[in-house]
Amino acid sequence: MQALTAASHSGDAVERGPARPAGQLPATLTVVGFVALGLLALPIVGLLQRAPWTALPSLLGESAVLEALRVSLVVSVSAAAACVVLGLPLAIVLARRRLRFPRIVRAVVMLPMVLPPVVAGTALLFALGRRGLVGQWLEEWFGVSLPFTTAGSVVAAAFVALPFFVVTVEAALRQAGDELDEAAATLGAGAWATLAHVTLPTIRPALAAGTALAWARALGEFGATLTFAGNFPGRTRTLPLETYLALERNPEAAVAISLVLMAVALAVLVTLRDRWMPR
Amino acid sequence: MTALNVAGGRYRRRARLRVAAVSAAVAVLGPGCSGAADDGDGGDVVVMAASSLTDVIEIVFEGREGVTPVIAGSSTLVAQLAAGAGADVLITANSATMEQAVSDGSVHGEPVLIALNALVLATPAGNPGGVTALADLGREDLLIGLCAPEVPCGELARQALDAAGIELSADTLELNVRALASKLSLGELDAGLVYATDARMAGLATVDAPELSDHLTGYYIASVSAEPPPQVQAVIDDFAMGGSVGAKALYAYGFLGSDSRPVSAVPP
Repeated sequence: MQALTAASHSGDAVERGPARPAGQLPATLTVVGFVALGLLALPIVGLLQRAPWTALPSLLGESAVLEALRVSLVVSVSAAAACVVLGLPLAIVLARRRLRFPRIVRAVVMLPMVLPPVVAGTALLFALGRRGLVGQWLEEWFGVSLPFTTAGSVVAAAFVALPFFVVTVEAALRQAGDELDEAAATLGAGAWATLAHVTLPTIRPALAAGTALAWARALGEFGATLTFAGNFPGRTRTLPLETYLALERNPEAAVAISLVLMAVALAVLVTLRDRWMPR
Repeated sequence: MTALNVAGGRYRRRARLRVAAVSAAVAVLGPGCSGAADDGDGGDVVVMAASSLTDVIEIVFEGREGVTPVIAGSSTLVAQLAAGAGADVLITANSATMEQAVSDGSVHGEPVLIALNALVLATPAGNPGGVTALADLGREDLLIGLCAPEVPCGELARQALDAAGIELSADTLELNVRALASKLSLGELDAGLVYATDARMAGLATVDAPELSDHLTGYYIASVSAEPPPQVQAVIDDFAMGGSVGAKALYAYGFLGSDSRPVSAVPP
């Protein structure tokens, strides 16, 4: 019994500690690992070698691309803001409250991360479309119809991006623990004061990382946006949609836009990797 | 191995899992790396077909072994072929995309016209927007959808609207005709221009629009290889020869007939 406990402790230590020297890893494992890395890196290389570097400025300067860029910025920034406003309370509830069915709740939160975006878009249509479960009342009471509007694109992007923010912030809250919060409460701080002066400052890096991740995901959103919000220049046609269309019209332009999207995504991940990776 | 045994049962199990993971990875990578190259004999006949043929393809190849259909917008299919996607037969929804495939050098067989399709002014069942004429596509108070001009149905719609001199007030330019028909049937859009066949399949109402009757699109089939093996030729004959199973399915779904003239003999 004692031996087992000791073994499991040391096992944990190995997992958390620094990487073991390569000599102790089976050679096959290392080889397959690098094959996998190649699989992930190859498409990036493929894109780079086809990149029309000299024509890049003129391709990206096309009015259609600039218009899509504008829509993309509006949509992704609004979606990221929505993720913060809605996701922060959710993350706090998930991390601090005892929930009845925690596994189910967590699965619902994570679902948009694994759901095919087209399915997400279809589900949004059935829920918030003109004839949808909630959408029909939005239309009747407020005259609001989300599909085929920029607001609809924001909803679709926020739907798929929200889990990235919530998961990042919830993990940070759990890691920080609630001892400091309790100490503050004992010292007489109210619930809001504790939140503003103790809880949020301790997880500031995670807030930044979660927001950036959600923004990057919203920027790259394609399927849900297309299905729920459609595709119209200046209104709902974002950069990923423009890329798709450009692929059929002018593949070089598609490569140029893809480069920009990939550079942004890489920049976000390289900057934030250490902060959002669960430790 | 001995070192692992000393550490106890827990670790031995881990070691076995690792071996299993490695062999699974090798198994996955193995066939994937060799499979792409050989699709001549032995492999399935891969048929790339335009979105509007979804149901026809389903009927024709139902229960038939050795045929794999790939359905997408014609221009997507042509781009995929040009990028080296493995396929044996290409069916496009207009002549321009087929000509593109020929000039890309990705199609070597001679394209044959197999059917025609017409655009219709379609609305959800019951026509909730009260659409009465093609000119209603300019109404600001309606949600109007078209296909994107990059895909054949959008190209045809643009030609028809230009010819009719109609100012369009579109809300979305869908990337394929099926998506547009679905959004109409869900009632999310009030009106749109889809193919007659898609309107019929999606149960849409149609509004008379005589301006559209002159604008037809042709469906073309071609073998990717200049000398198709017999099983590939069999698939082409199914569509190209009058009275065969493919042709019957086409007409059953509302496509208009053609006399299988080669593409070059047909006005664009």
